[in-house]
Parts: sequence; C-alpha cells; structure tokens
Amino acid sequence: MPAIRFTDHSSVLAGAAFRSTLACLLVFAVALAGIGAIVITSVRAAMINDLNTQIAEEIILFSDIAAEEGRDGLVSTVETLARTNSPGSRIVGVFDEDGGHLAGRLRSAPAVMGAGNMRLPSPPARAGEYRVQSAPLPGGAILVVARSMDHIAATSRRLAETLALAGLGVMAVSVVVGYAWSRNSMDKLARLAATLDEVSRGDTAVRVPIDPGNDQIDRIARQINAHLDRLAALTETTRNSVIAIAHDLRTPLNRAFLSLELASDESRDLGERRLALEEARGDLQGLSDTFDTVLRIARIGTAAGREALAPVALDTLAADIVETYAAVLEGAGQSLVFLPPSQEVVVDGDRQMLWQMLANLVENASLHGPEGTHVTIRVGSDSGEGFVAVDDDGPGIPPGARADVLRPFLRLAAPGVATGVEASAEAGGAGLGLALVKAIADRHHATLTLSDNAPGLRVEVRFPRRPEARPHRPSGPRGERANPHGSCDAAARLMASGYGDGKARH
Amino acid sequence: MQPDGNGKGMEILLAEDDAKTAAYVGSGLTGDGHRVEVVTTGLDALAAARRTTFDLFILDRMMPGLDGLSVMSTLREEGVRQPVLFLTAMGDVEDRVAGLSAGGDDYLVKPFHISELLARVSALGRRQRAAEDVTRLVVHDLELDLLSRTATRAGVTIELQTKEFNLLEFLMRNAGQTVTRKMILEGVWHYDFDPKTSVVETHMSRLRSKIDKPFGEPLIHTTRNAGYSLHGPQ
Repeated sequence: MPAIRFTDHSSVLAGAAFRSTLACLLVFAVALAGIGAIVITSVRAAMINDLNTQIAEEIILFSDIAAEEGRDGLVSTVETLARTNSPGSRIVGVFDEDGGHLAGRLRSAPAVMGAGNMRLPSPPARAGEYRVQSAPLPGGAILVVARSMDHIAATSRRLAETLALAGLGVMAVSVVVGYAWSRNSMDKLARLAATLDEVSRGDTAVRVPIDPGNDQIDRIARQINAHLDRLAALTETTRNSVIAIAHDLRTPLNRAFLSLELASDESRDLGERRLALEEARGDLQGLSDTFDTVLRIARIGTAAGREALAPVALDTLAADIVETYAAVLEGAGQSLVFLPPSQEVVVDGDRQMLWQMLANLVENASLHGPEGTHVTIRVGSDSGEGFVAVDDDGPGIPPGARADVLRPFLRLAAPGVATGVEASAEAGGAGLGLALVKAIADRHHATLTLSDNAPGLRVEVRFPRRPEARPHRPSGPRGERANPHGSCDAAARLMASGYGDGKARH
Repeated sequence: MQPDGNGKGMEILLAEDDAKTAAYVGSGLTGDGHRVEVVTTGLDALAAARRTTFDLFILDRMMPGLDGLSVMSTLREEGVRQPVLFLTAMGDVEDRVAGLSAGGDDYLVKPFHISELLARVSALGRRQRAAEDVTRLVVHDLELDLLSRTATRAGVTIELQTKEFNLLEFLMRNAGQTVTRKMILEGVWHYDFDPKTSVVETHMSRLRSKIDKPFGEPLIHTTRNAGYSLHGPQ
C-alpha cells in the first residue's frame, strides 16, 4: 500500500461507507431510546409492585396488633416504631374515624382513601414522592402507611443515565470505525481511479495494486487488472501490426520509385521506359490492394455484433468455390477436389465473408504450391460444430512458424510459385491472406487450426454450435428453384447451387 | 447531341473536388465521345443539375459541403431518374452497400483504370437493357433459356457448368457492351475483392472453348485493357 494518502476528510465523510454508518447509528439510537423507555418503565413498575406488597404486609401486621391489643396497644406500638425507625423513608399514621391524629409521625390524614402517590408535608417527610396507602383497622381506627419512592426514582435515573452513556459510547466508537472503513474504501477507489488515469495516458504496463482482503472493491480491482492485461496485449498487437504494415509497404513503394526513376531517364529507350511505367503501375496497384485488405481486416475486426449472422450452408458454399476454382487450379497444373459431408452443414455466418475466406485459402494453397499440388476442401460436422478444411500437399508451414503466419504481412520464403498465375497477384496481399482468414474466422467466433497434412498444410475452420436450429431455406437464383439438399450427391449440388443465398447483397 | 441509347455521346455531370482526378476523368470521357461538365462541390452539382438535363451523373462521395450521397438523394427526391455512378476512396463493403442501396447505380473505388470507368459509364447509359424477368436471351445464333438453364448455338445444345452459364448470361445481358473483369467479378461472383488468381480469365477461356471454338464465328471478344464483349458479327 502506498504511503500517500489520496483522500481528504470531506470526501470520506461524503463516502458511502460513512453515510451507512451514520444511518445505522440513527437507527440504533432510536431503538435504544425505545427499548430504554420500555426497560425503565417495567423496572419502575416492578419496584412499585414490591413497595405495594411491603405496605400491604405492614397493614396486615398493624391490623393484627389492633385486633389483639386494641387501640391502645396499636398506639403504643406505632409510637415505639416511630422513635426507632429511620426518619423519612417510612411514615405511619393512625387516625380515628373523624381524622383525629392518634399515633405516628404522620400528623394529618391525607385526603385519599385507598392507595396513591403523593407528596407529604415536610417535616416529617423528605422531599419526593411517597406511596401512601390508608386502610381501616379492626376497632375503627384508620391506618395510613407511607413509603418513600426516592429509591425508585434514583434507580430509574441511574438506568437512563447508564443506557444513555452506553449508547453514546457505542455511537462514538461506530463513528470512528465507520470513518476508518470509509477512508479505506475511498483510498482503494482513489488508487483504482489513479491507475486507470495512468492507463488512459498511455501506460499499459501499470496495474491496480491488490489488497489481501477480498471485499467487493478488491474483486473489481482484480477484474480490472485482467482487462488491462488484455488491453496491453491488444495494444501490443496493434503496434506490431502497424510496424509490420509500414515495413512491408515500403518494398513495393520503393520499387515503384525506382521504376519511375528509370521511366524518366531520357537516355533509356522507349520500350524500357514503357515497361518501367507498367511495372510501377503494377506495384502501386498491389500497394492499393494491400491497403484495401488491411482496411478490410480492420473493419471485420470491429464489425463483430453489428451485423447479424444468417444461416449459411457450408457444403453449398464449398461446392461453389470448387466450381469457381477447379478450372483455375487445373490451368496451373494443380487439382481441386471437394469432399462433401453426408448431410447439409449449416453455420451462422456472413456468406460474403466466408466466400472470401475460402477463396483466400484455396488461392494460397495454389500460389504456394508447385505444379502438381493437390488441394482438397472438406466440409463436415462434429457433434454439432460445423467445420470446413482446406488441405494441400504442398510445402506446408513448419510448426514453429504457424502462429506467425497468421499475423499480417509475415511471409515465408516459398520454394516456388505455381505457373499460370498473374504476376501482379503475387505483389499485393499475399502476405495478408491468412491474416484475413483469421479475421473472418474470429468474426464468426470460429477456431482456426493449422496443422501438418503430412505432407502439406491443413487449415481447418471450426464453427461454434448453432444456438437454436433456425430453419435454413436454400434459394436458387431469383428464388425460382428449390435446391435439393440432404441425400443428394455432389454433382447434383454443383449443378443446382446457382447463386446460392445472399444474392441480394449487391 | 442526343445520346444514342447505346451508352455513347452522353451529357455527363462530373462532381469531383480533386483537380487531377477531375482532369483525368474528364479527358477520358471526352475522348470516348461524351460531353462533360465539371463541378467541384455538391451545391454546384445541384445547381448544374437543375439548369441542365444530364444523361448520367458521376459523383465523388466525399466533397466539401454537401457530399455525393446527399446530392444524389436530393436529385432523386426532385425526380431525377438518370443513373448515378459514385467515385470514391471509401472502398469498404458497407460503404458500397450504403451507396447502392441509397439509390446509386454503380460504385467505383479509387484508384481505377479509366477504361473501367468508361465501360461502366457506357453500361449505365444503355437504355435498351434486357428486363429482369426475361426468360430467353438471344445474340446472333446463340440462345440462352433461363428457365431450363440451357444454352444452344445454331441449334446445338451446349453443356455448361453453373458458373459458365452465369457468366454467359451476364455477357448476353450486356451484349454489344464492354464489360470489364471487375464488372464480371461483381456481377457473376459478387466479389468485392480482387482474387489473386485468374478466375475470370480461366472461366472465360472455358466458355470460349464451348461457345466459340466449335462454331465458326467467335461471339466473345477481348477488348483492350482486359475487358470482354459479346456480340455477333458487325
């Protein structure tokens, strides 16, 4: 953890953690007040109950005395007791039927019959409330017993004070703890923000520091780091691509310069100069094609999700490709054969892109292989995953170089170029072919695998399983003919495929 | 000068803000027998179109002020039906589709061969075009039945593979017209990219060996700059 403190107090106090703490404390305070009130009330009630019991017992006692010893005995007992008892807490008074004072420190009869809480004149009473009960005694006298309620009041007060103090203590601790937690969270968030700020300034190597704790912020921090790793990898790839592209475009550009130099050299003969101009034009055309392909790859990379993919019959597409290219390869002394699947293989895709991908693969196989190369297209389905593969028995790609070949512009030294191929085709875009294939495969979330065909290269594109079986309705040209599918043989498919789906594109 | 409905001698408006391109295209068109008026902005293009009746519009997509696509939309809204060809450096599939679906008739990406432009201009200018729903195409003694997908020449049935048939159909629909390799790739194969191998040449030579060689008179002709044209003896 860095020693720098990022956060200031006001932002901590405004922080969510602190606010939650305050809210909890408010609830706690209200609850405490409520519960406290209930507790104090019930304690008070219990104590009053106790007091009433004691008074009742006293009354019984005096009643017994009055019954056994008569009025005189009662009077002398009360006088004796009055002399020995602690003043104030217990006061007794005996009165005759007319309210005249007979005995006890209580001189005048209170105006209540029965029980009640009241203040008594001082002396002999203390300040404060008394529980007073008057009862008729056998023999006609009236007994009034008063007990001080001071201790009840004191206890209530003590309880309230204790609860209040405890509550305040808890709240104070909570505020401190809440502040500390809030501060901690704010620091983490501030570190996150600072890291992302640095990343946006161009530093792709920086990462968010991770705490050993595992709260939500830590988990998010880990996720952010994972995303930053991916971002760094992407940036790296882009930088490398840009360098590779610039590097590779230099060559035709330089050649064009040289050709133009030659063409403007008046000492040369006209034929040479014309040829040089033609070559310059060829190089620049190749350059232009390369630009287009690079743009295409970039656009494909950003198109994912924007355009919906539609069902495409891979087997029909492959048959179409073979029909287009078989003659071309034959012209170059090579062969192209289609190995169809036993039933229709449908994937979700962009037909135009998939066509270009397969065309690229077939052309690459033809261009990199010598005369006599055999190229095969296979289409099939493996547990719901459709695949198409282009295999050749040409020179192949050494295992170590297979990953590199998918990067734009890396070219391998081809041992020979197939005859019958236009010269300009070699100049432009040959180094990009597989990069484009990879871009299209990625767009379709398909996996591209290069492997050894022993001898030669095997390129397989495997598509993900389709989510739900959307019905694929094959359409002939202008929708007139129903294409036979299912158990038709390859020849019938070749004749029937026509334009296939997606004619309306242009 | 009235256009002859064969894609020749047209009154053309060219809207292009790059002087070099404008000069290149302008001189090419004039050399091919057309009359050209050149403007450099979209607003000037609209003004010119309202002043004069043109047979064809060639619009650069990116121009200062009003761009080519907007110019065309405005023209179409004002009832102008003549064909529009877009010239552009924006060669992406999406841009192409956008241009064509907005009402453009053709889309040519820079850099281009002047012969490519001229061939497309002629093709657009032709008024007598075979309708979409026609079922038979006839050129000289060659007949193409589009329903039964059969080809016959001088009464003899010719076996054609699907792609060969499609190619022949394309040539016959543009009979008498020069079609370039690019136009064939777009029209028959729906390619918007340039294949590295000789797809068109290979299929064309196969077609020729079936359609022309066994019979005396060649119908398929190669024009200069790798264009083709199908027509009977003139």
